[in-house]
Amino acid sequence: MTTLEALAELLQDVLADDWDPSTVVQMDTSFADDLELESIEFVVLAERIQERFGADIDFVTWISGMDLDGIIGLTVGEVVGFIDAERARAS
Amino acid sequence: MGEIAVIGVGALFPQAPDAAAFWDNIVSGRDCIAELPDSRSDPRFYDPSSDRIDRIPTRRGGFVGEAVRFDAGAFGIMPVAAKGAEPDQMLALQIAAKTLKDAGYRDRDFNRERAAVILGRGGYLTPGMLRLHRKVKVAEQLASVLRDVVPGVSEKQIAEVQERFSEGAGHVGPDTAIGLVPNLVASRIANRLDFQGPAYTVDAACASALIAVEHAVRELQSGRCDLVLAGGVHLTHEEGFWSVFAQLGALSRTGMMRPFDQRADGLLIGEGIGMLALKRREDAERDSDRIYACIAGVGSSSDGRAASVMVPRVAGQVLALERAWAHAGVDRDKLGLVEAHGTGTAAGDRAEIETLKAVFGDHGAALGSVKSMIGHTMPAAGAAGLIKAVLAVYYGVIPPSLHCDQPNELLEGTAWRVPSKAEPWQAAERVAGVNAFGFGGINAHVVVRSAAEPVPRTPRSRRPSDRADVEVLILAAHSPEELLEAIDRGQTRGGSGPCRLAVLDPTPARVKMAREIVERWKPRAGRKGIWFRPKGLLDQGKLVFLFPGIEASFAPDVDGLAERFERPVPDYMRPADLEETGRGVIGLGRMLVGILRELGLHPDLVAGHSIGEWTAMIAAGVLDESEVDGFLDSVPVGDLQVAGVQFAAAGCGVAQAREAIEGLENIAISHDNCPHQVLLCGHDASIEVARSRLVKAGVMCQVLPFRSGFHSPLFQASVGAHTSLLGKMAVKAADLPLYSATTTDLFPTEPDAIRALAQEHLVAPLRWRELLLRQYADGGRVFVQVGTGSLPNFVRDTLAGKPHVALSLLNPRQDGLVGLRNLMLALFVEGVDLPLELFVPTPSLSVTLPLGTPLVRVEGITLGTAAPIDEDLPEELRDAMRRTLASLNAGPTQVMAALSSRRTALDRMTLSVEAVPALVDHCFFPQPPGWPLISDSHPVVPMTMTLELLMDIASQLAPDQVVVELADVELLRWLSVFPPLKIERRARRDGAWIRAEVVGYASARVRFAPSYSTAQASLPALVDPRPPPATAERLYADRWMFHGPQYQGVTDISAWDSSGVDGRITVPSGPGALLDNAGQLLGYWLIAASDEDKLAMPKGLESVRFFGPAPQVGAELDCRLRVTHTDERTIVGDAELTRDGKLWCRITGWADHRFKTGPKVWEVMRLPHTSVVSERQDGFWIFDDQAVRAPSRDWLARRYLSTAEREQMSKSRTPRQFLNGRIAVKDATRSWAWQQGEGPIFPVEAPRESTRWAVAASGKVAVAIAGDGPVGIGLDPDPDHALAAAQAGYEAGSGGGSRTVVRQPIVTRATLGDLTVVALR
Repeated sequence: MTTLEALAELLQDVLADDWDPSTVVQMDTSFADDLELESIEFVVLAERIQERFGADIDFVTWISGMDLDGIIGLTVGEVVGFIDAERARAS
Repeated sequence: MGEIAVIGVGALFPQAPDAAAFWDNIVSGRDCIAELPDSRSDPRFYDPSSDRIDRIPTRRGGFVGEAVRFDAGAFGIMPVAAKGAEPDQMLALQIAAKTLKDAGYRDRDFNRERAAVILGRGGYLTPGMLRLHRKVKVAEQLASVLRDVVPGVSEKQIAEVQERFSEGAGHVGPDTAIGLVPNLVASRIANRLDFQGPAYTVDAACASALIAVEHAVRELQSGRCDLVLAGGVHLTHEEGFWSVFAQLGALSRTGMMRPFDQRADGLLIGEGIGMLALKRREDAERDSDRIYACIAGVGSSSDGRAASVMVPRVAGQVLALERAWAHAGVDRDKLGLVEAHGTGTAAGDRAEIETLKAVFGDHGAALGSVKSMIGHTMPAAGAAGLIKAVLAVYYGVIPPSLHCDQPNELLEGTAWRVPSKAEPWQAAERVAGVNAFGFGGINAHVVVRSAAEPVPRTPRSRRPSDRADVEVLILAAHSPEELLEAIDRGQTRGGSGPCRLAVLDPTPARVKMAREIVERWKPRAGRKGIWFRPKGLLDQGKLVFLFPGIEASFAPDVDGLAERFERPVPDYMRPADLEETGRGVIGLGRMLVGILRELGLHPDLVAGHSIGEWTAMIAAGVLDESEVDGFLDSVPVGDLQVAGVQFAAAGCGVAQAREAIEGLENIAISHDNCPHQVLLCGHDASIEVARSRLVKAGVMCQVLPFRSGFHSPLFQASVGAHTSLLGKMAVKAADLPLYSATTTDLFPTEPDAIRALAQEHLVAPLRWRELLLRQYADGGRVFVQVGTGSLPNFVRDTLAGKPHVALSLLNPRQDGLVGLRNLMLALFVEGVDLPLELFVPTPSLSVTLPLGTPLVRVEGITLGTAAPIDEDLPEELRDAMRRTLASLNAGPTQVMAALSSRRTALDRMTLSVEAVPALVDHCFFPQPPGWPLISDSHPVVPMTMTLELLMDIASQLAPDQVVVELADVELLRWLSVFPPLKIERRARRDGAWIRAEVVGYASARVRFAPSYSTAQASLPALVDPRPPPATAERLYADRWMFHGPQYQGVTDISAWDSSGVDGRITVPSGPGALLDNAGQLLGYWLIAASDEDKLAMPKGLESVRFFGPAPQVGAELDCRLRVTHTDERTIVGDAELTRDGKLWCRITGWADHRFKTGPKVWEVMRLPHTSVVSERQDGFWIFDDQAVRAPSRDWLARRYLSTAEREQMSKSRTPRQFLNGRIAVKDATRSWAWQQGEGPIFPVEAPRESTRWAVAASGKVAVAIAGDGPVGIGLDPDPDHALAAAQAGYEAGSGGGSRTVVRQPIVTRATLGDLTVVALR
C-alpha cells in the first residue's frame, strides 16, 4: 500500500460518518479546502499518523514548527512527501 | 494625454460568472475551454474528417453556459420580453448594472446626461435573430421543399408541418420584436440605467472592444462625457460562424489554443461580455473612486494595402502601438506585461512577435493571452484582455498564459517570456499593453498604468459553503421517505415537517450526494454545504450560545452583516494588540447577538470562553454594555499583557498535560478546552521544557502569539487594577441560564457573588471541557459560537459520540452574511423556523435565457404520400390501386396519431367574457353597474383559473387519473380577455410529470396519480390571534377585494396576527374561484398589516398539492394562510384548505408582487367612485404625479380613463400631461358634484355634461377647477402667462357651457414650487 493510500485510509477513519464516499484523495487535495477538515480533526489525524508510521517519523515536531497559515494550506501531498522523506532517511 | 481611470469592471466569460471569478481563474491558470454541449451545437455538425462547409472539425470552445439566469423583475422587464430578446441584450444589461455597482455608482448620484455606453459588437447571427429567421424564412423554405419532394402532399398537411415547426422555433411576436434590434445591447442599458449620453455599438471585428474603449477615451477627454461604460459583447455560437473559421483554416483541429507555442494550430472560439467603467482620472480622484488602473494611451490603425485582407501586416500593427505610446507619458522600459492578441495561428503569432520587437526593441516583458484560457471571444476579446491587464496591474500579479510549452522560435534570445504560472509583480510602477488586431486589418492598442501600490488579494473560495450567490435546496418532510420522494420529484423548496434537508448549489451531482445521506439517515452538519436531520435536535434539546474569547487570529468579515442589518461596524475589527482584540471580540459579540435576536433567535443557555464570558454576561443581562466599556476604558493600556509569560496549546488532555508540567515552576494549566487541547501558561523557560516533553511523547504543542497570563496564578500580580474595577461594576442576576467556565455551574444571582466570581475568573483555570459536559447534561444539544474562533472544535471533541451539533456564525475568510446564511440553514434543519428568504434567493421574476438554438423537432405528424399510379392502366384498376394505397397509408398514420396523442396534446380556444361570463366578476377596474364598455373594466383570467386551464390540458394525457400536484408554475403575463383572446394550450410528457402550457402566457408541471393520498395539515396555529380589521362581509362591500359575486368566496375571517390569517371559504361558482380566494386572504393580510404599498397582484406560486377531489360549489372549507416572507416588492405565503378537518389542498409559495402605492392611490383603487387622488387647494385641484411611481401611473390611467381616452392618450404628444390633466379634471368635477350633494361617481363617468371645468398642466403637475358657471385656470412659471391662460379659459366659457361672460371673476393665485396657478371663477 502506498503512503497516499494509507493516508486516505486514515482520513476515512478520522472523518468516520462524515466521510463522503465520492471523495478522491489525491496529492493536491487540501485538508482545509477540499476535505473541510476541522483543526481538531487534524490533531486526531496527527495522532493516527504517528501511530501508523511510528518511530520512523516525527510528524508532531514537524507540524508544531509550522505557523497557522502553513497548516491551513497543507495538502495531502506535502504530508505524503514528508512521511516518505523521513522513512527514506530512517532506512 | 490626460489619463483615464478604470473605476469598475464587470464580466461574464466561460466558467466566470463575474469579474472576480474571471480573475481567480486567470491567476490559477484554469483552462475554461470545454466541449460545447448539444444544446449549443448539434453533434450532427461535427466531423473532423469531412471538409464539407457544413461540417466543423472541433466542438471545443469557450461557452458561458447552456442557459443563464436573468433577473427580469429587477430591471422591470416582462419575463416574456426577456426570454424573447437577444440574450446578449439582457445579460449586457445585467453586467452593466454590476459594473456600475462595482464602480460605486449604483446608488450614488452622478450626472446621467453625461454618461454613455459604447460597446463592441459584431453583426454575427445571434440566437434571437436565428429564431426569427427560422420562423420566418426557414419555415417557408421547409414548406417549399415539401411541395417539391413529396408528391401529392396537401396544402393542409404542409401548413400543419409549417406551423408545428414554427412553434418549435420559439416565441416571436410584437412584444418581443424590439429585443431583436442589435444596437439595443447598448441602448437598453442607457434606457434602464437612465444614461442620456450616446449609447451605441461599434464593429471592428476582434478589435471592437478596444475601439469602443478608444471612443470612450475620446468622449471623456473632449469633456463631452463624465462616465462611460465601455467594453465588448459576443454571446453566440453559430455553426455558420464556426464554419467560416474552419474554411479559413484558422480553427484549431487539435482542440487546443496555444498562443506563441511552436505547435500552435489555430484558435478556438469563445463568447462573453466584458465591461469597464471609465472616468477622467482627475474626476475619479476628486470623487474618491476606487481606481483599478489608468489608461495612459490608446491608439488604432489599419493595415492599409496588404497582401490580403486576412494577412496581418506588421507595419500596420506597429502604427497602432506607436500611436498609443506616443503621448502616453510612460517610459517603454517600464513595460512589464503584454496581453497579446495571441490567436495561436502561425501567421498571427509571427506578426505579433515582430511587431513587439519593432516597437520595444531589446526590452522584453511577460507575454501571454487570455484566449489560451477562454478562447477567442471575438468582439469581446479586447475587453477580456483589457480587464485581465487592468487587474494584473491592480493586484500586482503577472498572470500565466496556458499551453505554451515550446515557445515560438522567434522569441528565442529575446527578453520576452510566456509565464506558465502566476508571478508577483512588485514594481512601484506597473505598466501593461493590450493588443487587439481585428479581421480586415483594424488594429488597436491600449497602454495601462498602475495608480497605486499593488492590492493584496486572496482568491475567493470555490466551496459552495463560502459563496453567497448559490442556489439553495430547502426541503422539509415528515419522514426521510417523504423527503426522498420530494427529491426524486425534482422539488427544491417547500414541504413541512421535522425531517429537513438543505443543500447549497444543488447541481445533479450534489443532489445525488445529498440523497445518499438522506437514505442512510445520516445527520449532516454542513460539511460540503449539506445539512440534514431526520429529526431536529431542538425538538427535545436546547439551544446554546457560546461566546468566544481571544484567539491567535481575529479578522472577521462583518461589513456585509453590518450593512444588511443597519448597524455600525464594531471598532477594532483589525486590532493592533491584545487589548484592541479584547474590545473587538466583545464588540463583535454584542452586534451578533443583537442581529440574532432581531431574527427571533433566543438561546436557552449561554456561556463564554475567557473574555467571551463578559460578552455572555452582557447577553444575559448581568452587565450593562456601558459597564464593560467603562471597564475596558479604565484598564491601563498594556496591563493585559504580561512580559515573559506565554501560552502553549498542547494537543492532549488534562492528565497528560499535568504530567508534562510535573516538577516545573511558574507554569500552570490555564485552559482545559477539550480532550485534545489544553493551554499551558508559564514563564518562557518552563513552557519550553513542557513543550519538548510533550513533543517527545508525540503530542503536538504550539506556542501562541500573545503574551498574557489569564486564568493562571501568573496573572495574579497584574490584576490589581482589574480586580478593583470589577468590584465596583453594577451587576444583576442573569435573565437566562448563564454558566461560568470557572465553576462550571450557573452564575450566582447575588450581585456580590457575581462580582467575586468575575474577579476569580481572571486567575482561576478555565474549565471549558467540564462546562460543556455540564451544559450537555442540562439538555444543551445545539451549540452556536456567536463570533469567530475554535469553540465548535472544542464542543465536537468534548461531546464526541453524543448527539449534538456545533456551529459557528462566523468563519475565517468567509463573509459574515454567508456565515449567517449557513447558520440559518443549520438551525432550520435542527427544527427552528426562521425567515430563510432573507438569505436565500426568492422565487423572483427571474427567467432562464437559453443561449442555443437546437434543431427543431416536429412530432405528431407524418405525411401520407400518394405514390404515382401508372396512367396507362385501365380505369378500374387505377381506382382499385388508389383505394388500396389510401387504406395502406391510413393505417400507419392512424397508428402514429394514436401513439402521439398519448405523448402530446394540443388545443386552441378563445377566452372572452362571452365564453366565460364569470370573468365579469374578475375585472381589475370595476366600473359602475351597467357600464356599456367591458374594455374599461379590464377583465382578466385569475391566476387560479389559468392553473385550471393547465390542469385541464394535461389531463388529456392522463385520462383516468387525478391531479395530485402542480409545480414550477411560471406566469409570463396576464390573460386579458377583452378583446377576446385566442390561446393555444399544449401538454407533453416529461418523465413522471406532464408539462402543460398556455403558449406565451403560463406553464407548469403537473403530476397525476390513480388516486389521492392523504396528508396532515401542518401549518402552525396563529401565535397571537386577534379579531380581524375587516369582517368577511366588509371585505367585498368596502372593496378590500375587487372581486364580483362569482369570485366572492370568503365568508368568514376568524382571526389574524403577524404570521397570517384564518378564514372560511364557501366555494363560489367562478372558474378557479376556490384557490383564488385563498390568495385573497394573502392580499387581505397585506392590506391589514401594512401602512403603504397595499396593492398586490399574484405573480406565481411554487406548488399546489391536492389530497382529494375538488369540492362542489357551496361547500365550506377552512383556510389557514401563513405569510412566509414580505419585503418591499413581494409577499409570499403558504395556505392549507381543510374540509371537515381533513386536509384538501396545500399551496406553497404563493407570491404576490407589491406595487408602490401611497395611501391616496390605494383609496382611489379601492373606492374609485367615492374618492379622489388629487389634492384640493384654494378652490382648485392639483394632481402632482411625482409622488406616483410608474407602475401605479399605469394603474391610474386604467382606473381613470375610458378606452376612448386611453386611445387619445396614446396619440398625444405629451401623454403624461394628458393623463395628469384628465385626472385633475375628473377629480375636480366629481368633487364639485359631491359638494352639490350628488352620489358616487366613477372616474370614467366624469366629467359630466352639466359641469363646467378648466384644466392646465405643466411638467409633472396638472391643476383643474370645476363649477356650474364659467371657470378658467392657468399654470406657468410666469405669473402673467398663467393669468392670460386662465382668462382665455374663462372667456371661452370653459368646456360645456354658454360662451357669454356674465360677471367679473374671482381670482385666486397660488404658487406650487416654481409654478404659479391662477384660477378664475
